[in-house]
Formats: sequence, C-alpha cells, structure tokens
Amino acid sequence: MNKLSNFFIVLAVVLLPHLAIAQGENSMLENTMYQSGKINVVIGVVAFIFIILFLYLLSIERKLRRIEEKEKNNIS
Amino acid sequence: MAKQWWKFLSAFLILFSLILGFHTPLAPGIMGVSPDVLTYGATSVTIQGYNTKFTESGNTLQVWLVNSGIIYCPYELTVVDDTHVRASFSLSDEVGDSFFDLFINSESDGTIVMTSAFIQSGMVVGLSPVHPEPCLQALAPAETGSFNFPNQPILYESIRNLLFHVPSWFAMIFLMFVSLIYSIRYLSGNSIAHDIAAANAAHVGLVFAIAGLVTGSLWARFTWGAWWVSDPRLNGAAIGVLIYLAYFVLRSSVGDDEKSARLGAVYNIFAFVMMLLFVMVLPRLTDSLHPGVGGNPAFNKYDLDDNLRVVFYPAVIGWIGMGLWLLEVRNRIARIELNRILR
Repeated sequence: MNKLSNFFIVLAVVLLPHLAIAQGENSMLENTMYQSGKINVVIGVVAFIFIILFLYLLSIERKLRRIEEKEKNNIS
Repeated sequence: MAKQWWKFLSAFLILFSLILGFHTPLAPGIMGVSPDVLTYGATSVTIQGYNTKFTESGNTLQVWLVNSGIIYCPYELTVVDDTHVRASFSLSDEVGDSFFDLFINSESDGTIVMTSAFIQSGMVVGLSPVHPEPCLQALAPAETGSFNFPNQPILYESIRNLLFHVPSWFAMIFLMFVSLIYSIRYLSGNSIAHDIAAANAAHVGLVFAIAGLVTGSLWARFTWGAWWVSDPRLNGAAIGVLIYLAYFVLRSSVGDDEKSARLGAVYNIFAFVMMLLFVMVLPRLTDSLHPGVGGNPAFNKYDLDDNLRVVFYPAVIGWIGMGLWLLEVRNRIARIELNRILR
C-alpha cells in the first residue's frame, strides 16, 4: 500500500458514515436523487464505476513507473 | 494489432450499453395520484403520468378503477397536459376491498397500471359491493414497436442501473474464475508466472466487486431506503470480498515465495467455491430484495425485459473484456518484474 491509496481509504472511511448520517429528510443530495424519475442515481452509479476504474489505472501506472525507474537505474 | 480486436469490441460494447442505456426512454407509466384517498361520494383526483402523451389521445383516453374485480369509471375526465389528467369518481358506500387499482388506456400509451393507487376512506368493505353499470369502451391496443425500458414503481429511471451495476458483478465472477484456472495451472505446473497471474486476476476481480458494492449501495439508498440492508445477497457479496481480501493477506504474510504461491493457490480454489456459495447459492435459499432470489433463478421474463436484455448482455461481455484487458496489462508488468528478478 502506498500513501495515495491510504489517503483515499482514510477519506472514504471518514467521510462515508458522515454522508450517510447527514442525509436529512430534505437535504440537497436527497432531493436531486429522487428528482426526474431517479435518473441521477444512474448517473451516480456510472460516475462511481468510472472513478474506481480511473483510480485502478492510476495504481497500475504507478506500478509500471516503479519498474521503469529500476530499469533506468540498471542501465545507467 | 490482429490480437487486439477484443479490446475494441469490449470498448464498443460498453459504449453501446452507455448510449442505449441512457438514450432509451422509459415506458409510459403512472407516477402518482393526489389525493390517494377515495371517500364515499364524489372525489376528484389528479393523476400524474410519466412519459405519457395524454393530450394526443383526446377523447379515446379511458381511466378506470378496479376494486375486487369491479370496474369503476369516472363521471368526469379532464386532460390537463401530457402528464396530468383529472378524474372525478362517484363511489357507492360499499366496496369489496380497501385498495383500488388504477388503469389508464390510450392510443399513444396502451394500458398503464398503478396497483393499489387509492385507499378507501369512510366506506364499508363488505361482501356485497354495489356493481355499477358496465362503462368501459373498446380499449386501444398496446403500442408495439417502440423500444423502451419497463417502467417499474419505486425504480423508475434507476432501472438503467441494471446495465452498469450487474455487469460489474458478472465481470468479478468471471475474473475470479480466471484466477481459479491460473491457480489450478500453478498447482499442476509449478510455474510462478501462473501464481502471479492468479493473484492479478483476483485483484482485478476485487476492483469490480468493490465497484459492484459501491454502486449497489447507492442504488439501494434511493430505492430500498438505506445504504446497506441486511439482505442475504448483500451480506454474501461482502463476505465474498472479505474472502478474497484474506487471499491477499495470506499471500503477503508467508515470506517464502514458493510456499506462499502454493498456499495461495490452494486457498484460491476454496475461495472461489465459497464466494460462489455466498453470492449465488445461499441467497437463493432465503428471501431477498434482489430479483431472481428466493427460489427461482434470475432472468425470467418478469425480472429482465427483452429490451433490457438487448443492452444488458453486450454490457456484460464488454465489462468482462475490460477486466481481461486490465488483467493482461497487470500480467505484462508482472512478467517484466519477474524477468528482472530471474536475470
């Protein structure tokens, strides 16, 4: 595990319960989600899938960069 | 380039599911009624439709209530706009059931239904309800040929999530299966590359599982009312994720490479069986909020509409392809790393 992914995990663990509890009966998020036939739930779901794939690509890239640096050190 | 076609295919299928998934309209339906209480005597109600075209139907629009098999028609019907219609009912003092189902038939929308749309108040629920005169005219046939998704109460537009939430679980199970195959190949061939590939497949599968959990949680919040409900399939999926997390903990906690690979491969075979048990088998044995659970397999005609199917299966193939692509990239990185160590 590295610092960045630790940061995201801590962020999720700290923020998610707050988000869940902070949902009052008429909070803004609540209203948006129930509007126009709940279409925004679908947008949220697609956005989450993209965010997760994006973070995963970042982590793969980081792995690759580590190897690139090792190669560079070996050659020089 | 010749071996890359499946990546283009997966990307195309995902794009296809995104475009059709968002572009296809929802079938017409009834969103709500106000007030939702019918009293003895005359009651005027406003009916709100969704994706309906009430004004196009003009005089052919018919609204009626069904209560224990008896049909009640309004004595007055006014179309306000495409999605609103006002109806006035005059009801007798004795009815057969407390709840009224609402039906609307029109040339443009076919017949749309809202079950238990109204509850009675101040009437007598008895065995000898008064039968009014038959009032229904010939009904317009259902509109055929338009491509739309089913309009389900509570779900409404969020039924489209089926095209994004469920394929990520399919991809997860497929990748876990790939991981199982690699583990078996490691045990029979003792090549460390197979063990690394098994771990990579489980890793990508875990990412899809987390995507499934997060999106499912969001969907549940706005349809079932809570971020997490104690549903057998939800808890089973969470346990499945924990089983695979334990796989990584096991692999990294054994120092010896040979030993950790061997232990991991054996554990992975158990993990796959346990995951399938918790995700697919156990939820079937009890009742669940998920469709297709509680006895019957999913994907019968009540759970998955034909129009959804047209988009759903391409989405499943597309996301599985995307998962395999991620796996390939990880495997190639791992191969370089392995060659470095062996050099």
